[in-house]
Amino acid sequence: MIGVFVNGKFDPEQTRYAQGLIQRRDIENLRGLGSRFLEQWANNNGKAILNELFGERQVNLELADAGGYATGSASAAAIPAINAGGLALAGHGAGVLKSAWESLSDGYSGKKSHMFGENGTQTTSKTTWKNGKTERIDDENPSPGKRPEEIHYHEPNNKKWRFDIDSGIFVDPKTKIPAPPKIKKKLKDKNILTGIRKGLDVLGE
Amino acid sequence: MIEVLNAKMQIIDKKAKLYMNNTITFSLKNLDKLFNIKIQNIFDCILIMDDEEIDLNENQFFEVIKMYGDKTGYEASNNELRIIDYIDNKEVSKENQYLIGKSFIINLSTRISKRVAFYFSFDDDILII
Repeated sequence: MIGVFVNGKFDPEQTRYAQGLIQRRDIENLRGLGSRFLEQWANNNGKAILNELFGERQVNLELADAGGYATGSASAAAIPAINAGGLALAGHGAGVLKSAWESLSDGYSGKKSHMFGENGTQTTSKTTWKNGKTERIDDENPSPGKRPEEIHYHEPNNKKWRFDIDSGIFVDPKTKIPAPPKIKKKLKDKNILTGIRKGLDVLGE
Repeated sequence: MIEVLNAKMQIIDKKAKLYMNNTITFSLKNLDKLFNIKIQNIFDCILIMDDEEIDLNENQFFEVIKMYGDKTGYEASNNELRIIDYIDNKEVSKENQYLIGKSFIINLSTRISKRVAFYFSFDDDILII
C-alpha cells in the first residue's frame, strides 16, 4: 500500500492515482514520479517489487543509473517520510511541493484533460482476450469523444466488471463498487493484462 | 417497431429469413435468463440486471453516472448483451443470432413502457445488442 501525503496531510486523490499506476503497471507514468520515489518504494518493499513490475533486466539497468527514471520532478526533500504501513510520499513547502507534484499532476491531468478513448477507433464492442466460451475482455467505444471508452472483464457466468482507469481496478459497472478479491486477482493474469493493453491500443490510449 | 438496416445488415436480414426453421439448443435456464431477463429502473434508467437488484442513493447514482458521461451511456453500457452468452451451442451462425436477437428485443420491448432504441452490431461473427 502507498499513501501519498502532501504537507503532512493524506491526499486520497494522489494516493488513488499512484496505486492505480502500480496496479496497471503503468511504467511510463511511474517513472514520471521520479527515481527517488521508486528507490524509496524499493527500500520499503525490497527491490524485488521493482523487478516484478518492470522486469529484472530493466530494473537492474535503470537502478544503476538513477537518471534512467524521469527525474527533476521530485526533489529529495519531497520524499522523506516512510510510515509503518508503507511508503509515504510527502511534500514540505510550496516550492518543493510544486516540483514534487509536477510530474504527478501532469500525468494526472493528462489523463483527465481528455476523454478516455476520444482518439480511438469507434467500436461497439471488441473482444481482445477470450478464455473458453464466455470469459473475456471487451473494449467498448461506441461514441469516441462523446462518451468515455470502457474496458470490461466478462466472467464465465456473464457478470461484467468494468476496468476503472482512474483507480486501476475492476468495479461493478452499475454501482462502481470494487470487485471482490477473486476478480481483483485477475489483474495479475498476464493474458488478461495483455487483453486490457490491446484494448487501450485499439482505443488510442 | 422501426428498423434501420445498413447494407451489411440488410444482407444478414435477407439471409436470416431462410433460417427460420433452424433448431437452436438452449438450456431451460438460459432460455429463462434471456427471455425473462431481469430489468430494474434506477433513477429513470432502465437496466438489465445480472441477478440481484441494486440499491443506490442519489449521490451514489450521480457518482456512477460520472463514469459514463450521462444516463444514456450508463444504460447503453450496462445493457450490452451477446446472444451467444445464452446459447449452449456456441457455434451459431450470424443469421441465427440475429433472429434470436430480434425475438429478444421484441420480447423486451413489451416489458418496457418507454420507447427504446436497440442497436445491433457484429464483432467478427458475434452479435452485440
